[in-house]
Amino acid sequence: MALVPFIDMLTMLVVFLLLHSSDVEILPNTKNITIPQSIADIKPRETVVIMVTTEDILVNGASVAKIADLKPNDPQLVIAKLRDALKTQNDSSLRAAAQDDLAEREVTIMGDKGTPFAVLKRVMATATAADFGKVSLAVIQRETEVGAGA
Amino acid sequence: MASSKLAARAIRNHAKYRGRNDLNIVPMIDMMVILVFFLLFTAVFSNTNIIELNLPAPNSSVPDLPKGLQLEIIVRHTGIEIADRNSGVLRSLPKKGAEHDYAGLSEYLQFVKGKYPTVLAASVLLEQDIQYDVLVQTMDSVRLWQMDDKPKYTKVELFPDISVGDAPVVGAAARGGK
Repeated sequence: MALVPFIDMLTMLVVFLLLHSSDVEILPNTKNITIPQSIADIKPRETVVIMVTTEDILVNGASVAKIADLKPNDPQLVIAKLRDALKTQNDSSLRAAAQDDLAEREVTIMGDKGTPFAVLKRVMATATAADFGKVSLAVIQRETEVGAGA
Repeated sequence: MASSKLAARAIRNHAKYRGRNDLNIVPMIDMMVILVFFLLFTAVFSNTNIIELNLPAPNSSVPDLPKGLQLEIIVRHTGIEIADRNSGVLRSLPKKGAEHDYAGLSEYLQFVKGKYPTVLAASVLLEQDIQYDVLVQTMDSVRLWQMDDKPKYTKVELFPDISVGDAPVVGAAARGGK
């Protein structure tokens, strides 16, 4: 039968897709927000993730605060609800080595492109106030990089 | 009766393959198609990376300003200003159309890097409602200079230790301090 080339193609596709799905996805998918593109090339690590969408602030997938509730000229920089949520994360999902060393605790912020800096600044201030020493921003690799890749 | 039906089917199927000596690959193709679809839908085609920030700890005191260059990149709605905290604005780059002038920023920072090769730190200061995207693009220009040498796109480090802060309000900026 003329099925043989078809099977060849399928086999190739399966192998290709298997190889490409092998790099583990650490950050949650970003269907509802568009995160900015960047030329940064540091791979994400397993950390606590703060996601800032156009409406909510989420910590590891659970909504903790609404953007609309943030008052624009609040003298208090730290978002109390977010800080409390981050404090509980401290105990559960951090690597054992990072439990005591404050400076080594990491948090990754995934923000929507359109997030104003005022909101972002407060999220970052809250992260440092909740004893996370390292703050990283999640970005998508820019397309021109694909040609340069590896 | 059900058993006779099954028996009839077995006989029929057997008759279908009688006299053929090739493998029945149809189930394999079924599995392959299912696998392909499964992998296609779970595949990630966009690569997510991270930018590391250099934020001060909340309880650390403000250190005495060291001598030398204290590079500040101030992003405003009207454009980008490159300033030294000690001596004031070095260069201001107005917006080009709707976009900030990242190319001009990168070019001028390469010039600064040439003069002060040992400086690694820079502060990106933003006005309150600047979008996150602008921050990331500015940080890209400040951190690295990506050469246009296709297909390698060599990256040269400029000022990778970036801290982020508030832009001084207009007027105070002219005095070059906060």
